[in-house]
Amino acid sequence: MPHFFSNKRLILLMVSIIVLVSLIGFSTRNNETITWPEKFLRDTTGVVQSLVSRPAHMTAGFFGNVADIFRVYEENQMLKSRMEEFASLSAELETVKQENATLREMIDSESSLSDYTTRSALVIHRSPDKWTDMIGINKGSQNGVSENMAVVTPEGLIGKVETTSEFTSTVQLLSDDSRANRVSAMVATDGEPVYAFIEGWNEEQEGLMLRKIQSDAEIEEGQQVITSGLGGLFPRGLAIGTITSLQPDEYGLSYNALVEPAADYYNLEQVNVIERTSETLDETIQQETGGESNEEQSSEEEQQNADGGGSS
Amino acid sequence: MIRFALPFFIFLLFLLEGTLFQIFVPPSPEREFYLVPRFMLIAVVLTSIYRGAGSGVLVGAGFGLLYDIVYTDIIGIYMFSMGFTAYISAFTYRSVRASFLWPFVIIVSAIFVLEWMTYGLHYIIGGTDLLFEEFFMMRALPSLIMNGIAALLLIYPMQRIFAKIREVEELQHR
Repeated sequence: MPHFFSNKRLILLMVSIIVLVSLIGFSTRNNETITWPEKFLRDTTGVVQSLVSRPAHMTAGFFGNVADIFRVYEENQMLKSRMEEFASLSAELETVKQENATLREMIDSESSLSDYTTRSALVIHRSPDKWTDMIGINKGSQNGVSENMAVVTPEGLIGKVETTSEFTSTVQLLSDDSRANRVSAMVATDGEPVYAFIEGWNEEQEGLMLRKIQSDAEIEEGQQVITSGLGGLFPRGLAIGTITSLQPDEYGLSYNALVEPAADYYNLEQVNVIERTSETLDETIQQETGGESNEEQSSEEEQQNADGGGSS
Repeated sequence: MIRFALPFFIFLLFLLEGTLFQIFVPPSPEREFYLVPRFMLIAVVLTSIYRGAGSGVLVGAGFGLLYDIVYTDIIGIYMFSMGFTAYISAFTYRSVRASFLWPFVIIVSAIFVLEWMTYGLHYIIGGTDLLFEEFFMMRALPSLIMNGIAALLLIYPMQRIFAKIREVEELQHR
């Protein structure tokens, strides 16, 4: 090693460590918005990444198709059996939709928490070091994407928009295990819906953690978990997954559940960014759900504050 | 023009890591380990060997910064670790430059240093609570094997690029 740690070099090393610490401090402090040089770099690389990723997705898709050909027969059998189920379900859905529309007319409410518009986007990169689980998409603030919007695939929710630049944005997947990664969710039961939070990924058991379920809630394995729409910009009713196991938490005051995700977080090509059209909750609904637990309210407020900070 | 060949080549490797590799080798829940491509580091270490510590650190820190901004949210980690790794791998001896084995050995150790440094930094700032043994089995070892193979493929073409740059520079000097 050529004259390794001489005095001058040692000082240089010290200075760069100080720069490192301050940069890390700077970037962990304001993680809601990013500065313009970062935006510029992301946009320019984003253009090249979009150019490269489109044909790459096509090529990968072609090899996927070749592999699929061998499974066509089995898949066809399964789909046929599903078709009959689908016909009855769609008829039921139609009647329920009509009923919903008439009921809504009766109470004069125009918008609901489950109304939203979608924008489709192409996945242009994924964080290659797996310390964080994030993807980049080729739609940014110029296309109307803003922070904390929900991102879905046809199967269900995959994450939320973390940062946006002009033409690209990064999406934090639900499988990312950072502490701030939390989604207000609910379990669809026969009676009252049960509200809880999706808080990150459980590495050992390979599933999402649904935490802070009230201990008197009636929850079973196999029930559907969907977004509640109570916190932030998420609409109500996006599929998250199904409950696979249930255990009391470390203090015995509430339950934790393991949720098997509905969407595949691994082979992502085209995703949809979802913008909720109804701005706030209806007054009456807010009163009904707001009193349930203080925790929920406070975190909702937190979320809304964060949103306000992001958009201003 | 040959001046821009090297940054352009490293930028291609940058795209390969984040976009192409992720599309063709998507992460899978069945795998027990993580495959993290470090193709850019291979090029940075070779730059360090064939162009000297100064250029190596410059290229390493520059592309590390780009990596930080585009792929991760925390600025500084890769900028510092790539710069540092480039600096300690600057073995500019003639015998190292001429051989094939020596650059390979240096690259493999540089990959391990980088993996270890990024793990350590993430551990310090609370980004992970992985134990060292888990880190070694799940990340360092698979990364060393995969990137070692990539290095075997990359070393020869990159040696040719550096030889070409040197040739052009000598012509300009005359």
